[in-house]
Amino acid sequence: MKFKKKPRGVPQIPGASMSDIVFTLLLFFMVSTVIKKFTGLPVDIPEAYKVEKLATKTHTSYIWIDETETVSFDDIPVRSTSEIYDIARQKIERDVQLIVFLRVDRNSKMGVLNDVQQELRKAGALRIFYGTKSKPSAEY
Amino acid sequence: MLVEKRKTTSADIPTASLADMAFLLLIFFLVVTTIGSDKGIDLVLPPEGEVKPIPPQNIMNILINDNGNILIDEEPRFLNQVRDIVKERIARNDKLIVSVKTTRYTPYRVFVAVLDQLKQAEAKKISIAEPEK
Repeated sequence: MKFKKKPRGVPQIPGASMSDIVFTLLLFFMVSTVIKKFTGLPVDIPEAYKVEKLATKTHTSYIWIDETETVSFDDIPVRSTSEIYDIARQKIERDVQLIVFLRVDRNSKMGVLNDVQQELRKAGALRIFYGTKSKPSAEY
Repeated sequence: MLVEKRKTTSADIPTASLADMAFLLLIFFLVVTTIGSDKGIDLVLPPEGEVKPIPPQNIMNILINDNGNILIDEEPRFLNQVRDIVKERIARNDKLIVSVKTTRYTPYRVFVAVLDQLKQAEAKKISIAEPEK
């Protein structure tokens, strides 16, 4: 038995809509991108198993505390912890949904952190986040 | 006088390189984007000056000393025991408030590890006590 061979042309992918697809992807990444605002301090944050993702970046301010107990609030160097109150006060007045994200070095002591927390409490910035890396899950 | 009308040809913008430009921009944003890189432990601080009397049976005290040793209700414990102890206590009393107290020299690392254990035990009411000077 003999089959008739179909005449075959070279298969072609339509290229006209390619730029549309690319533009859609581009728009998605442009919208979802938050370009890093602050440089901060070099800190080595601790690890934890049960971590949560920070839901929003627009309402977040960052505080860095490094090993030498240097404190930086959104890149504003803080010399004494009482300055935290004024900065936090201003920020909470501008945005009530403020979340303060604390990047504290794993080798630092609780003393400074506690002072910072007391100032945040006074200023009414109550939602905080301890920045951690996530460890692969332990036995649950 | 008669001026000859010039023939107008339609001006075309070349679109062949459009996709290339879009790709370049796309790659830039792909590289720059970090999705959900901020992770951590969520906590809400108590408002200033609010002191509520709490019945002592609803409080569980966790103390962490300068060396990072843990004391739960006057008994020394290991870090990896905390989760199970807290879980058990919460199962018995769902109004339980876990109070974490540190000193000024407690390593932050241990404090976070204890908070992590509490979160693993699904403790909702966590209070951070002011350290003794």
